[in-house]
Amino acid sequence: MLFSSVSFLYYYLPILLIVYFIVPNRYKNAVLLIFSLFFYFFGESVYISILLISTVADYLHGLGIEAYRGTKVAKAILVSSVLINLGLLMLFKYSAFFVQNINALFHAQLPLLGLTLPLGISFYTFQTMSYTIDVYRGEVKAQRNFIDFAAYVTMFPQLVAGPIVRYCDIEPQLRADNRHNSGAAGAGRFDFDGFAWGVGRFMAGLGKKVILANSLGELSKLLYASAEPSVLLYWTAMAAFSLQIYFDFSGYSDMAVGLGRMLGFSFLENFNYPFIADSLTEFWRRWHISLGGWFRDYVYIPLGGSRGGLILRLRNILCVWMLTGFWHGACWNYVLWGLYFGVLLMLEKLFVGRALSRAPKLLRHFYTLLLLSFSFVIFGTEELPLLGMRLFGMFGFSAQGGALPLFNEFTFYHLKSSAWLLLLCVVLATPLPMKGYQALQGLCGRYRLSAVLLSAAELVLMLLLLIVCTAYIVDSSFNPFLYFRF
Amino acid sequence: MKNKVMTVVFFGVLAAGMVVNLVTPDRSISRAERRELAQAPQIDRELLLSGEGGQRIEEYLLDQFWQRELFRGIKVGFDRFALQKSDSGGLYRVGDYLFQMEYPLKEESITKVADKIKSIEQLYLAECRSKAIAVIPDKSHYLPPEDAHLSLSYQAMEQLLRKELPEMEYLPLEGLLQLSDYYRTDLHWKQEELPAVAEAIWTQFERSFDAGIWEGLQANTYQPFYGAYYGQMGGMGDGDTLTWLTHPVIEKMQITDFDQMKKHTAIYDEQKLTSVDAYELFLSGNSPLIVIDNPACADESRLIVFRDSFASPLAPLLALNYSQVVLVDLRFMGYEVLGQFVDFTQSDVLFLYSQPVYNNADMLRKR
Repeated sequence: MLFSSVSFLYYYLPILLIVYFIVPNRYKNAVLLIFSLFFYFFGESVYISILLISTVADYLHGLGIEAYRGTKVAKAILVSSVLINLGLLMLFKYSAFFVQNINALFHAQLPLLGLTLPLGISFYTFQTMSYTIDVYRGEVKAQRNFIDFAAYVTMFPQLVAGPIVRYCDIEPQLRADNRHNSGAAGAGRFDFDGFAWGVGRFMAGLGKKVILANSLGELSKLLYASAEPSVLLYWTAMAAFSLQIYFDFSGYSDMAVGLGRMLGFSFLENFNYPFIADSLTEFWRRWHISLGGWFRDYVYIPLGGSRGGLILRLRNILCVWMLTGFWHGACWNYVLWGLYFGVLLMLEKLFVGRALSRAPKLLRHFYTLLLLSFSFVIFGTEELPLLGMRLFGMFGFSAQGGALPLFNEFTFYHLKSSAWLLLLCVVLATPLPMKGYQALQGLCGRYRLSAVLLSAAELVLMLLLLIVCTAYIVDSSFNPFLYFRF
Repeated sequence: MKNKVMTVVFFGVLAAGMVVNLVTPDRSISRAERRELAQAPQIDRELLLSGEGGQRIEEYLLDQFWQRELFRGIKVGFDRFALQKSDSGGLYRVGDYLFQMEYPLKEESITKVADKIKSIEQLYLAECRSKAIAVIPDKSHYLPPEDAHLSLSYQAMEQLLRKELPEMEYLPLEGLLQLSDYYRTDLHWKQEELPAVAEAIWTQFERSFDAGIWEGLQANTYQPFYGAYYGQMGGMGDGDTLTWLTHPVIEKMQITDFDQMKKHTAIYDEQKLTSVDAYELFLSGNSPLIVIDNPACADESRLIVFRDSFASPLAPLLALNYSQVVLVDLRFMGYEVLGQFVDFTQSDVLFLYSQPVYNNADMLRKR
């Protein structure tokens, strides 16, 4: 089920909210589990068994590690847990990739298994792995209540497209009494502030996905499919795709955070205006934060992190980034994309970073955006010959040889037609609108009447946004989130 | 207080949306969108385990959403006014008229169509009386340049066809039409504006006709006619008026529809007026091969038209001055088998396609 669907917005969510807030606290996780399983089943009826196997396996592994803490058995159980999770990922996500490459390389005839990718497998396997690793490290205690644990793994707001919520971050909230909607606002009292905050966040995410990301997606698809390419066309398509990925994924994260908050959970932020970064290092502190944090804590640091010599450090960086790329998809362009960032981040740490810190802010920003531009082209193009065509096209080289025109009628028309959309997206990708809103709040807060007017305006805006989003949803065909496939 | 109101309103709207959608009866078709709407799938074990259950249910909920057309109109309006987009999915509005962008001119496609015409010429047209080709301009051709969005150049298409088919007489239609000769919400032309086109075709094939040939024509109307673009543009605005011309001679014409293997006399199928596409009133819609016989015509004369849907309202008018009009739609049949059904000897042959067909050769059957 998609958040941006009629079934979710106008059936699933109101029913869930009624049931969730009617039942006593001790049954809330059971309700959450049942609804989450239904949410998953609605979109992935075949592979729900994989989700359940992963959940049961890691629940038992957690208990086993706890029981044999400090012994080699605990280590063996941890290895078993990691192997099961990585095995599921390997089987469903990467087996076809490896078979195809082995066949191509050795002229072999290994059969393809023909497995489709289970929804959200990249996210929930990473979550459950982090749980058993944290239990092994003694950072959290094993969860004895299966309902609570299963509710954590299958929690629908973040189940299929993240953010990757680690068990250690959410453990206290798994007790319903500790949640905003029951404990923080006073025992048994409904936390209207938290719920309304969640609504605002959810609506912001819905608007980002449904209005902005989908429109940008149409634009980049249309431009890339054009039979009349130009230099400006490739740059515009790249910009549209980059912004689409951002609004799609951060929109989903906003919705996840918002829904979590409505249900009383606080998830960590996953995005923090990444396009305002003035280095690639900073970009990755602001983009898909939960994934970056996961690889840092469970791969980079265990490999030795920044300890050891330069060679070891560089190896660790390269290794982490290759895996990060591969996590995004079983295609060579993702590996290339990961390596691209690995190499650039190494160069930034070794050479460029110091010079960059002394450069004017505008130049730093230009440097970051330029390198990100190419990264998004790599990310968005799975066929390598097409990737070459798009990258060369940005510099005016035609696939047929010769030079591309700087712009043409087709590019000019679509650039003009989408100018407002692109401009709006660029502004919304910066903290400016939020700062403006906060300033307005401060200003209006001085007088009771203006505060009331601002509140009324917010309410009207929320309603209008819901109507417009519904209009876009009703008008659309089936339109899945991009990150569902990862 | 603000947060309480926000909470109540958000939940209230979603819950109210659910109730309204549950109590609203399902519709079978959307006339504005000219299509059948998805119906509630039977939820059984097979559907649930197929992996498509969720998608099927979502499609049903989307199609049956309360005030679906209003919401689609809001989307188009938001694109146009808030995002200042010049088109919505390739469609745009100028005044009351809706247009579809068709771009760029695909020379390769036009050459493919020309090659097909050459093949037909070689196979069948050695003994025909006369042959010609014509291009029906897209209605955007009649927009002032400042209002037209990305569109096909009529002149460039004409030049290319003349170059590719030097043996063929070219019948210019451009000057015979104007924007008001087309429906506002549809791509097609209006039958009541086509007598001049029919006369030009007769003249091209040296068919003499009396100026009084149009006497006795009676206009019948139906409204609202929602054209193909209406639904795609969110269904905002008024529909068109669909007019069809009846005549004592037309009423006596006999149709043979080779697709349905039946003869009938319904040039105009009025039952289609209430179907998803009222334009199918003319000759009951698309068919690979239709023969119209006019028993009132004094001589033995045949016109064969290779055509698309634009020819459907034109054909009855053309048949007023022929004893037989044969309509061949290469979108639904290969030309290789034509010889079994059509006699080209001493026939006038017209290749009459609209610009989008020339520009999208794949619409025509390969074999």
